[in-house]
Parts: sequence; C-alpha cells; structure tokens
Amino acid sequence: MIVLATGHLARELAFPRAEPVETPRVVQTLNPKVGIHTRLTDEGSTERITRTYRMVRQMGAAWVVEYLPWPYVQGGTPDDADWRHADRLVDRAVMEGLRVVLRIDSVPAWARPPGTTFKHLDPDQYEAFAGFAAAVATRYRGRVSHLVVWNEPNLAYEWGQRPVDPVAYTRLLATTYAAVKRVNPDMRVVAAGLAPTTEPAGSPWGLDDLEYLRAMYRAGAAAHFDALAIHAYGLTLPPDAPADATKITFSRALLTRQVMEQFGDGAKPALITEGGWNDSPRWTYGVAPAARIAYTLRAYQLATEWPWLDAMCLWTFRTPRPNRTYHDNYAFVAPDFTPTPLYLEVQRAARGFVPPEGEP
Amino acid sequence: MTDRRSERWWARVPWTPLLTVTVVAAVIALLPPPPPAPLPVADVQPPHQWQPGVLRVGLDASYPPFATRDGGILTGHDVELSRRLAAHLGWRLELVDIPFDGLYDALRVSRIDVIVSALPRQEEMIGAVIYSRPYFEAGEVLVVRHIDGYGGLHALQGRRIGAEMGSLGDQAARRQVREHRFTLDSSFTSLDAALMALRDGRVDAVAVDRVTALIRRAADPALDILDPPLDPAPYAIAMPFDAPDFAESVDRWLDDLDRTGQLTQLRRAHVG
Repeated sequence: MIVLATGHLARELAFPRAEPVETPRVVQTLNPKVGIHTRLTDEGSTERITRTYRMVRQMGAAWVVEYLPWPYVQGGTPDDADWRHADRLVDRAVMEGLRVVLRIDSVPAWARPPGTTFKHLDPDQYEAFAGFAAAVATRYRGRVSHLVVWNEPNLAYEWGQRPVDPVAYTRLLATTYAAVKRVNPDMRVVAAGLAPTTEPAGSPWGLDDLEYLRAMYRAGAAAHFDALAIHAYGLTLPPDAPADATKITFSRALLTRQVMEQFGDGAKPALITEGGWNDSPRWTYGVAPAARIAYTLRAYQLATEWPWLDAMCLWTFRTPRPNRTYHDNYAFVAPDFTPTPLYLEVQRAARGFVPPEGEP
Repeated sequence: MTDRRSERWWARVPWTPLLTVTVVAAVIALLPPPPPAPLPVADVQPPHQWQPGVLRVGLDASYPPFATRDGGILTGHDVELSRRLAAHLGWRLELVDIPFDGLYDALRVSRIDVIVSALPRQEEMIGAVIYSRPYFEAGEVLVVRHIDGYGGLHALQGRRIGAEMGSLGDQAARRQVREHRFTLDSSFTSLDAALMALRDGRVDAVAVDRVTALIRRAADPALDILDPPLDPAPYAIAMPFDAPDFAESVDRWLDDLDRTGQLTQLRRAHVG
C-alpha cells in the first residue's frame, strides 16, 4: 500500500494534472439580436446567477443587459470598492457566451445630500460617477461591450425626485464618456434609455422622451455617446401599431430613431435595452398571456428588420423574488426558474426547436 | 360536651370568604393597569414634514379595482379607503397618481404622506417604511364549484386543477403540485376557458388571482373560493419610518374597520 501511494504521489508530482478550464459556451440562435434584461442585482447565489445566464443562452438570446448600481460597489466610502458580486455576474455571463451590456446608475449615500433618494446626483459628483464608470470599463475590458449611462433621466423619480434636466444629463454623459474613453476606447458608451412618456414640459413628473432627446442633442450630446438605448413598451397595442407621438406604442422606437436622424446621428446604432408587454389581469395596460406571446415574437422578428438596431433586450428575464404586483407579469421565467410559456415560445422561435430538458 | 376551641375568636372568623376576597384583591392589585383607551387617529401628531390638515395619498391609478380613472375621476377600493382615512383624521384628502415604481421614493422625500395602492409588503422595505396591518388579501387562490363542497386545499389532493396558460395562477399551482398531488392542466388560453372546464367538471378547481376570483364569484354564486390562498399577498398601507405613532393609530383604525365589517363592505362594493 505504501509503495502504491508513493508511486501515485511521484506520478502526480512528475505529471501534474491541469485544473479543468471552463470553456465559454456559444449561443445557438437563429436571431442574433435577441436579448433580455436580467435583474441579478440582488441575487446573492452564484448557482442561481449561473442558472439564470444558462437559461438566457438556452432561450437563444445572445445579449444580456444587467444593472450595476454604483452603491453596490462603492457603497461605503469613495476609496473602498467591493467588486465581488459584479465580477460574478460578468464572469458567469461571459462563460455562457453572452454579450454583456451594463447599465450603471444610482448614487451611494456619501455622494449625495442626506434625505435624498439614491437617484440624486449633483453636478459636483459627476466626476466621481465618471470615475466609477471608468473603473468598470477598465475592470471588464474585453468582457463587457457596452456601458449605459443612467436610466430614464426624463422621469423625476429617476432624477432624484427633481425636475428633469436634459442639459445636466448631457453634462453627466459627456463627463462619463471622456473618462471611459481615456481608459478603454473600445467600450461603447450608451446614452440612457428614456422612459416612453408624453409628459409635457413643466410637468413635475417628467418630460416626453422625444422632447428630452431633442434637448439632449441641442445641448451637444451627439459627440458623447456611441449608441442610444431605447425603451420600447407596447402597453396594450401590438408591435406593428403605427407610431404616434401622442401615444406610447412599441413603434415609438421608430420616432426615437427619426430624432437621431434629424440631428444627423443616423450612422449611430441603437439598442433596445428594455421593453415588451405585460400580461397582468389587473393592470390597465396588461394584455392576455397569449397576446403577449404573439407580440413578443413579432417584436424580436422586427429587430431583424431594423438595420440600425444592434440588439433587442426586453424586460425582464426573472426576479429573485416575486414582487406580488403587476411587475411579476413582465418576467419570462418565474422566481423558481419555471419557464413561462413565453420563454418556451421565444426559445422555439430563436432556436428553431425546443431543446430537451437537461440540455447543458 | 362543647369544644371550647370553637369559642376562640379565630374560630368565628369566616376564613373562606375572607381568604377568597384577599386572594382576589391581591390578583387585581398585581394585574397590569388596563391600557389607556386608544386615541382617535386625529389626536395623533403627524410627522413634522407633513402639511397640516392634508393627507397626501400616493397611488398608481392603473390598477382597477383598487385605483383607476373613470372619466378623469379617481375611483376604486383604495381611493375609498383613503377617503375614509382622511375623513377619520378630519383632514383634506389629496390623491397623488404616481407610477408604481416611483411610490416608495415619493414617500421617502415626502412628496406624499402614505401609500395606499394595492401594495404588498416587501420584506426588503421593512426598516425603510412601516407597513400597516393587512387590509386586503390578494394572492393566488383556487376557485371551485359550490356544489362540490370542498372544505379546503386538502380536499383537492389528487384532483385536477386548471389554469390559464402562463398566468400567475398557473405558476402558483405548479409550485403546489407536489405538495398537494394535484394534476395541473394549464393548456387553457383564457380564464373563461378554464372556468368553463370547471363548470363542465373537466377540472375540479381553477387557480387564479384572488381579486379575479372575487369578481367572478360575485357574478356567479355557483363558485366558491378555497382558503387558504395558494400564494398569499396581503396589501398594506405604507407609511414613513419616522411615523410610528401615526402607523400605530392607523392599525387601530383598520382593526376597527375590520371588526365592524366595514373592510368587508368595502371589498364587496369595489371587488366582489
């Protein structure tokens, strides 16, 4: 026995076995523009993070948008940074062969006045925010392709419960763009997706997204982003409902594109980073589950007909826990990972077949 | 011969009743004092940042039957509940229609005073807000035929459950299949189709959200709703974390509404 053990040890020392290397997987899809917004910000389990991204890949989605709140990395002090959760998200997404779009916003308590919300960012902190964005761009070089700067700044509650300010947002965008490009010129800086709304100028709640975008361009925003994020919600209307500036429809994305072209920015691509339909029976703007399936499939097909669109990432893949509000009815997969019929139909359309259970 | 001890003074003392009185008096003395009579809500001082005499209620008016716009007028279960709270306070009511996503932030920065908006308790918000006791039970339930006389979930073991494909009722029922040994059929493309199957006896129950169940039952007394819910989701009022006295008095007011049947009346008037 001793001779055998010694021999075994000698062999291991002479010919050490390499640790198995995980090879990134490849997304199999008939529609390379299919994407989805995951919501793993508050998902602590590596197993569930991995499972989420695996199911995204198995659905036939090549793109994933994820939210990386600044406070979750630098919540304590400006000098501390905890990248563990963010690293896990990026690592697992990349291993599943996904193209990662990270949205960064929110403000740590140390960077805003007491009593303000976590969406309150004052101009004297724009450099600090940009510094965080640059740190993200450095850390995830070659693994994250797009960085979305803020979210729906045309809504008061996304702008710290203050009157919205497209000029201030443009300054934030410019500051962040410069900081990111200094450290990683290949990172695509994406201007924030605006909330589709028809709120008029002077409303305390927000500003019409098309008006807001025009104001951004007039403030010189074109020089400070590489792509535009678009939020495309259909509410109760199908994806082919005609675009109308006075209504919220999925095709409002085409009006957004028109604004880009009107300001000479037609060469720049866009990504839909949120959107879709909701099948809550209680919500005024919900549709029947069967209609939601039909509309979603058509929306992903439309993505292939819009050459200026790089990706269509609908909202939302799964939440870690049920919200028990109509928001649950946006999900493609239940919190317990049960795929909804919507997920299965998108999978069938994106991959041409339904893979067997247990597919790796 | 007379027992001379019986003539001693202690023999003449009525010990039993005396001891009884003594013990009772001691118990009463040791009992905690009765709680003070609950103050009416109007006597409670609201947090300093609130506008005096005004109750600003935040709600999302896209969620009937709790809150919706009918010809521009806000109406619904939670709108009426808010009116009654303001009336009880003796304050003017101001309803603030905010998309659901913005409600908690609006409360945080005091753009509103309370949230009454079909709001389920969220464990992660406890500590940031105070939730009242529940005033409405939502969640997912099983609807059955009244004539079948099922006494509860246990009676449906081994039975067939229908659900609208992809609905939250479908999801809730899937989670319970193993525990209750249901057979689930979620091939129905609409709730009406699932309920038709229930009426025909092709399924024994239908999983659906409780609000829809109440509405359907009100229209069809042949239906019953089984308790407990498959997946409970009680609604509560959210209040600022620095208003514990106000929150406590709202709880007492809700208790009173519940005890006097007014919460049930409100539910029947607006939901079913």
